[in-house]
Amino acid sequence: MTTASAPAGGRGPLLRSGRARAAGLAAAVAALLLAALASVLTGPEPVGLADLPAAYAGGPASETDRVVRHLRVPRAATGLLVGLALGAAGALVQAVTRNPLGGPDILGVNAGASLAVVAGIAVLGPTGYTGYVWFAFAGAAAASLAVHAVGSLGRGGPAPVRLALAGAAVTALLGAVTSALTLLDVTTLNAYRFWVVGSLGAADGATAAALAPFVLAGAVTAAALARPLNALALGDDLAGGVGARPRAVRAAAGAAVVLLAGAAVAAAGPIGFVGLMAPHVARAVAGTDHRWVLPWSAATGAVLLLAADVAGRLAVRPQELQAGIVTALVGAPFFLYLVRRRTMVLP
Amino acid sequence: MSPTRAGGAPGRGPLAVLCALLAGAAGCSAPASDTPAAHGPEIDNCGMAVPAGDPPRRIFAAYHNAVEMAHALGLGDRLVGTAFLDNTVLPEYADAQAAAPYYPALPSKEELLRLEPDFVVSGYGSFTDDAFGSRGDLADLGVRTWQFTSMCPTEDGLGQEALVPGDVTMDDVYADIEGLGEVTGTEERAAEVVAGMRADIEEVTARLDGVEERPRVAVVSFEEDGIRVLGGNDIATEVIELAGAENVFADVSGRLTKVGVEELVSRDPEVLLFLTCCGEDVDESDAGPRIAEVRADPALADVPAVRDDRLHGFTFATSSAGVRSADAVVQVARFAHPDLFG
Repeated sequence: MTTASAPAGGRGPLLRSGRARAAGLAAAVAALLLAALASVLTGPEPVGLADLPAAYAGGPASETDRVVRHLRVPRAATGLLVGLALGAAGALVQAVTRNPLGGPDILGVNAGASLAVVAGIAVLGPTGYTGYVWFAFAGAAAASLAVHAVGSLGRGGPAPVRLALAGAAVTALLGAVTSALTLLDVTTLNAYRFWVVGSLGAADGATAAALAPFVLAGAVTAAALARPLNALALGDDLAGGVGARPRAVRAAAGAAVVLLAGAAVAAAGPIGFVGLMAPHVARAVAGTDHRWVLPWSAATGAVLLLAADVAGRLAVRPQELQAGIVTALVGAPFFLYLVRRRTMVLP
Repeated sequence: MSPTRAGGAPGRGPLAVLCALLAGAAGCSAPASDTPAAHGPEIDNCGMAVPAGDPPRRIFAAYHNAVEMAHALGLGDRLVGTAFLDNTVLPEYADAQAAAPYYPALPSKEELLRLEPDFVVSGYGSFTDDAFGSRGDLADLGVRTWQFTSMCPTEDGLGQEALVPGDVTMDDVYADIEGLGEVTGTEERAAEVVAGMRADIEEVTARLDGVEERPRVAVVSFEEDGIRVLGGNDIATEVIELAGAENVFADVSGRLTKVGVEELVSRDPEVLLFLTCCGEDVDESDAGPRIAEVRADPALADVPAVRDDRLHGFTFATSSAGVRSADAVVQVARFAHPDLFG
C-alpha cells in the first residue's frame, strides 16, 4: 500500500475543479433524494407518486395515507439519517486514524453501542429510541477508547494495522458478550437479531424525529473539523505549525464519531461496511480535501444504506432481508478488495 | 399415575432399573442398545424406524408440546427430565410436572446423557448438531428418539423443517400421539386422547355447519424490527381452517417467519392472535402490553382487527402441534365466530 493522492497510475480524483466538485455534490444530493423516493415507493402496499402529497393533505386518513406517513416516510428518513451518520463517521474515523481500513464498524464502535443497548434492555426492558440512544453513546465511547488504548500499546502510537486488529478483537469480544447476555435472558432473545445485524424495520416517526438532532449535531461538529483534519493530514508536527492542535482535533472527531455512530446504532442496530465504503467512494470522486470528503461520504453512506434497504425488501418478498445483511454482502468483498489493492487514496 | 404397558418387555425390567440406580456404572448401557427390533414392530417417525414393543423407562421430553404429550400419555413417573416450557402447563398436568426435573432451556448433550435417558421426545428441533446431536448418534448410544412430525429435521441433522409445506395436519398430530403410544406402551391412553380431540373438533365443525363467513386471522409475534407469523405449512393454518377461518399468511412458508409490519397491514386481518412465550409462568394475559401498543400505533389503526378491537392473546403452547391442538381449534373458533361460540 502506498500513500498517494495521485497514485502511480496518474489517476487523481474524478472531480478536480471546485466547480466540478460543487456540481458533483449537487448530483450526489439528487441521487440521495432519488434513493429516498425509491424507498418510499417500495413495499407490499401499492403507493404512487400522487399518494405522497395526498397522504399529508389532511382529512380522514386512508390505509395508504397511514402506510406512507407512519411506515414508508419514517423508514426512508431513518435510512437517510443513519446512512448520513455512518458515512460521515466513517470519513472521520479514517481521517483521524489515517487508516483506510477504518470505520465505526471495523473499530468496534458499533459493536460497543449495540452491546450497551442489549445490556440496557436486559436491565430496564425495551425503552424505545430515546432510551437506547444514551446506552449506545456510552457503549460507543467505551469501545472506541478501548480500541484506541489497545491499538496504542507498544511503541510508535496507534498504527493503522494495530488499530484495525484491536478493532477486530474488541468487536469479537463484544459480540460474544452480546450473545452470552441474550442466552442468559430469554426476554432479550426477541430483540437479539436486530442488535446483531441491523435493519431499518424498526423505524417509526418517533425514531426518525429523535434521531435527527443527534445526526445534525454530529454533522455540524464534523463540518467544523474539516479544515483542522486537512491540517492533521500533514502530520502532527506540520499541523502544529499551521496552528491546529492535533490532540484537540482528534478528541473532537472522536466525540463526533461516538455521537453519529451511537445515534445510528440506536435507530437501526449495528449496520456494517457503510462507514468503511462511503469514504473511499468520496475520496475517489472528490479527492482528499475533507471539506469535500465529509459531505460526499455522508451522501454516499445514505445512498448505500437506502439502496441496500430497498434491495432487501424486494429480494425475498414477503420476507425482508435486513439492510445490515445486504451491506455486508456488498461490503465484505469491498473490504477484501481494499486489503489487496496496492495503491489507494489515503485519507 | 400407573402407565399402561400393553406391549411390555419380558425379562428386562430389573436389569434396566439396576442400571438406572448405578448411573454411570460401566457395562450398564450395553443391554439397552441390543437389538430392540427383535421385540416388536417399528414405527416410522420422520423417516426413521423407531422400535416399539419395549417401552422406554427413562424419558426426556424437550419443549412444551412434548412435555404435555408425555403427561397426556401418563408417562409422568418415567420422566427423567423436561425442558423449555413456553407457558404454564395445563392444570391437569400441573402436579405431575411439578414432580418432574425441569430445565428452563435445552440442556447440553452431555447433561442429557448424564440423565441416562433411553428415550427422548422432542416437540421442536433438538436433534441437531448444536443441541442433542442427530437421532442416528443417539440411537448408537442406545437412546431411542421421537421427533414431532411438525418439525422433522433434515437428513444431515443441521437444520429443521416441516416435512412438506402444507402437510402438517391434525392427522400428523394424531399419528404422533398414536405412534408415541405404541412406542411407550400406552396405546390405550393415546387412543383416548385422540378420540377426545376428534370429538372436540367434530363439535366445532358441527356448529360451523352452513356458516359461510371465513374471518381472516393472523397469528403474530411482534419483534423490534418486524413481525413473526405462523405460515401456511404450520399446524396453525389447519387449526384456523378447522375453526372456520382463514390464515392470511397461508402463502408464507414456515413457523415464525419474519415479515415487515406493512405486510400485515396490506393483508387486512380481521382477527389478530398475539403469541405469548416463553416460560413456565407465561399465559395469554402476557399479550396485554403488546396489544396496548398495537392499539396505539397509528400505522395499524386501519387494520380491521385493530379497528374492531379483535386482538387476543394466544399461548405459544396452544399454537404448537400437540395435545392442545383441538383446544386451539376451539379457542380460535371462539375468536373468529364469537356469536356462535360465545
